[in-house]
Amino acid sequence: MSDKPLFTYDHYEPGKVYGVKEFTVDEAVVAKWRTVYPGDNDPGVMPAGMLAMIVVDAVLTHNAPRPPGGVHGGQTFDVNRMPRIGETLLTEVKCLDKEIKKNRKWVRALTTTRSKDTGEVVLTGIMTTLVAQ
Amino acid sequence: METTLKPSSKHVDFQSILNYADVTNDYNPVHVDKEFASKSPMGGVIAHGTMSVALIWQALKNSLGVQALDRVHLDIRFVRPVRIDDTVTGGGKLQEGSSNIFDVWVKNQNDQDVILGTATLRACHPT
Repeated sequence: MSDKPLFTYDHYEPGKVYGVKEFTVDEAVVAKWRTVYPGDNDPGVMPAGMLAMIVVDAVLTHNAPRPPGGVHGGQTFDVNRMPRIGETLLTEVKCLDKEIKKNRKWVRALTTTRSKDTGEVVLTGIMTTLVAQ
Repeated sequence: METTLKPSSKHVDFQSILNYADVTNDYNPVHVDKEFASKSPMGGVIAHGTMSVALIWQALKNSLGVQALDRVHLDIRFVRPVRIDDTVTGGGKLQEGSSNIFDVWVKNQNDQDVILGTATLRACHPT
């Protein structure tokens, strides 16, 4: 159990970059994915569903621990090219904006995922979350 | 080009939700703790939203080919939770009058939308 204080709605600062998370698309992590989706087995190709895994992993690393019970409300994925198996990626997490609507607290996080080797942007995403009260 | 995406389906049981939590390190109790979830506004365990997004990616890949995924902008909203023992199906259809924008969705076994959105295929990169 983490001793860190909860990362609540009040902690989000629009425009702030929270850090970068490294993620290697190795065979072990792909095998883990296939425990859920065994049909995602194109040789050499990272299953596209794993894009969400990369984004969520980065956001949950930097905006954590969260109050329990938040809900993912929406997501965009802007793919420049699919990551390759064996590739290491760096995903930056930034607070895009936040808003209270009908007493619900919404936050949008912008993620930018680059190839560690080349710096090429392979994916950007916007994760919209309903933060638990 | 295909105008209707080949659907892709998955039965979601509690074990697959736990496996997905393990894959993503997302152990939000609304997904993995039946007691917590029952007392939450969700009224019970819900699957991770992104778990079902994979079905849209599969429908796109199975219909348009894996290379088409290199130039997709996917924009989705989670409009209804996926519950234990739901069977969900991802699919899509080319918007009328468009050559590159698909309406995409995931529906449950009752034909209710759980995810709605669009997938836009950008032009091929010049080589």
